[in-house]
Amino acid sequence: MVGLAISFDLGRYHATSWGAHVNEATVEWPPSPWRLLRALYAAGRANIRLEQRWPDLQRALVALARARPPTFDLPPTAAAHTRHYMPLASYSPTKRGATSLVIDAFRALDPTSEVRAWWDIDLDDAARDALTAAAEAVGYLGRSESICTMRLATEGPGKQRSAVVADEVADDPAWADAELVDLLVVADDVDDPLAVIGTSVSEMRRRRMLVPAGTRRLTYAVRSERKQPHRRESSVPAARPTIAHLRVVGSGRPAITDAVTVGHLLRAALQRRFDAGAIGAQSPVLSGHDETGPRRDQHAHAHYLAAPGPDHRHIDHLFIWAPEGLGRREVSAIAGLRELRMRDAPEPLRVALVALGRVEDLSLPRLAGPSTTWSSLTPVALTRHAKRRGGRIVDGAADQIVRELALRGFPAPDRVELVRGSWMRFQATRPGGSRRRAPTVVGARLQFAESVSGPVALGGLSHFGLGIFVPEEP
Amino acid sequence: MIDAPHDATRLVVDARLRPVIGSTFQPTGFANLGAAEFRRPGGPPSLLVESVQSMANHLEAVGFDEASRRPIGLLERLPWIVVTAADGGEHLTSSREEPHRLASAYVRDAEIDGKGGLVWLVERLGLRPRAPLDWRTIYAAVFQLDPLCLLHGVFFSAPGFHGNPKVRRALTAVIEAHDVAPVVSGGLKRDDVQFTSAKGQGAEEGYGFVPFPRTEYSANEIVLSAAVDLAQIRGYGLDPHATRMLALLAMWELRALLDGPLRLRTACDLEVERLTVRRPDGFELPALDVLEEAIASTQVAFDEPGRRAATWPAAKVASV
Repeated sequence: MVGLAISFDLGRYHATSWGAHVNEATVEWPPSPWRLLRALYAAGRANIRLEQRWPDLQRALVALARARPPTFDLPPTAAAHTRHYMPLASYSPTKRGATSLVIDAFRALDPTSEVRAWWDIDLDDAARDALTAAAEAVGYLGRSESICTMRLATEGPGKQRSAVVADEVADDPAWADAELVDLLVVADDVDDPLAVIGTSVSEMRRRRMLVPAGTRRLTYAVRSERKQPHRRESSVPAARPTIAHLRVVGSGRPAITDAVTVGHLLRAALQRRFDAGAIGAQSPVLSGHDETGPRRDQHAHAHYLAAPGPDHRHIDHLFIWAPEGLGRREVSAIAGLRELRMRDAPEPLRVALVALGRVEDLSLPRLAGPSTTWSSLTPVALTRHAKRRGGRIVDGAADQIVRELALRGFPAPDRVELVRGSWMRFQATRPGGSRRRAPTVVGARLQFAESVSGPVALGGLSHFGLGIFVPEEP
Repeated sequence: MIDAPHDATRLVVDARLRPVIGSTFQPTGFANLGAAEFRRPGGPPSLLVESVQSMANHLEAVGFDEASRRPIGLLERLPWIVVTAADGGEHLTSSREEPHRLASAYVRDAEIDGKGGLVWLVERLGLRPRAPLDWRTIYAAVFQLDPLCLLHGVFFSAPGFHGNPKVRRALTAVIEAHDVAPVVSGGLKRDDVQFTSAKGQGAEEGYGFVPFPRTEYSANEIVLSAAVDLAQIRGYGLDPHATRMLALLAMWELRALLDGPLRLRTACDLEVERLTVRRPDGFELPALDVLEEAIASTQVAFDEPGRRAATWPAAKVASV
């Protein structure tokens, strides 16, 4: 039995799968038998100290290439990636823009753990010694960031393998849940396996070949990795921020009457940032949707609120308020947001996060009070129709406001006073929605017996900037 | 003991770091990409603080004086190629400053010893069309042209370099943080002269109030890990003095980086809390003065020590 053991000294293994572009962010795992043999071949050719051992190393490599493909023992890993701008060949101090975005995908693993590959063959002493020396000379496996230490394993294989040729376990129920992975191996019928292992990548590119000639893809069954217990970061969950305050700057700031449009733009922009690098990922906090559809858990998810500046007309402030709290990825999406693009606007709106925390910890008197008296900044969109029951009107505007307050945990107000104003000028439908279907909107003043803390956002589209109440200044 | 054991294939060190002030730091990243978070299996969130490529730049920088655009005194006698403008002799760049080092387009397209750079390099490297690479000649040539390329790598990838030899880096380092959490803050750049913007006097021109966000990180652990591939250095087939010099230079760059200020960017100023040699067992990274004395006294003969001139054709000099 011949075994190779590889540890990755920096805790990472970077290797792009054959036939894939580096920016597809796939990692060949386990390392293919072809890659292992090629690394040994390259070490044998490039390391001058192995010159004398080259004939014996060649015999060892041919024997391994012709043997039945190896089985593997694999350590736990985690898929990861980072992104970088790398200099192109034309990069220079006078041409710094010549860079390319590269996704660097890798498997993160314990630097002391080992990948082991086992071939069921025997080698004579000279071939084994040459293979040992070549293994010690292998400095990396995959890309050059994959610093590794390779050795010929002297201990035997463990009882349970992590990856085997799929055909060998096709009827074994113990492998029923295994993942099927295609790995590159030297084809069985090649006359010169060394020529296959030592193929020139430049020649391959010139001939527009995706995989080296003389190889084939062999399907391996790879056991799912044991679920490692997720270490809690703290015995007490850290309190998540519940509100983010963004400032808006620029001469083309929209009017507060367009708060709903801006709210939708903000939500869409944050969703895009949240999903960057993933496929179809959706934040239930930012979107208000879970896997079953719109959430029904009492307005715990994000509200996108707007507030004007000193002119009381144009939006200077945006708030993302989520009573359930903003997670790490939501915060990251918010913190990185730089601009919002409004249709027909000559320039994008510039935005920047200026405060993040829990509502009760931040000083937001003009949004969160506390106060006993609250007045409409944006109108409340009524969601029900007033109706006559038993000779009296029910579900009128005031009734609906009181009901909304109760749903959100506020005490019943002592008084709800409807306030006249230019509420009809406010956009009360989603962007693209017909104004003919716009709900009735009203403004109001709320008087409470005791001070209450906000934010207070009630009624239809309250998650997008309608129904905002602000403390009335004494 | 200054030299690693002769059978040691790697020197691997881990330096636990901490922020010089406060407890937060600014990791690598770009405005549109964000920070590079990842996880090890079953572990807490980790973060790339400085990439392998950036660490290579830092390691190379310890031996080069940017102000004078020359190697520091200790490394003066090591060969390197300086590219000057044919018209005026202005120092344009060098094999120490270029990302692609000896394989830089500026070296390749320069005139060296009366020949075109590509032709000159191909001859020195012993490259021949449709012939196997003569690695012994390649390593010996690179050592005589710029030995630091044997530590930091060089890839002759351009057409014309028959066989496109590639020497990978023998000294690799990376800085990672583990058990991290973002620290989000922000601020406002003020303009107390005028409170409203006017045409031509907006934020782009430097006027006005400009809010800005800031995301730094805190971490339970920040580690600089570095590996010197001693097996690769020995595998260059150079004479023992040259081999020893390369190993000493690798250790010296590492030690100089760790002993010096680790200010990676504006809000990322780190210092070493503890240094551990993971391999070989029992080996300690020598002190800086010990390594410098050993390097200065190595008996290595260079065909042309120090600076070698290359002239970039005047017609191709771009105005900066």
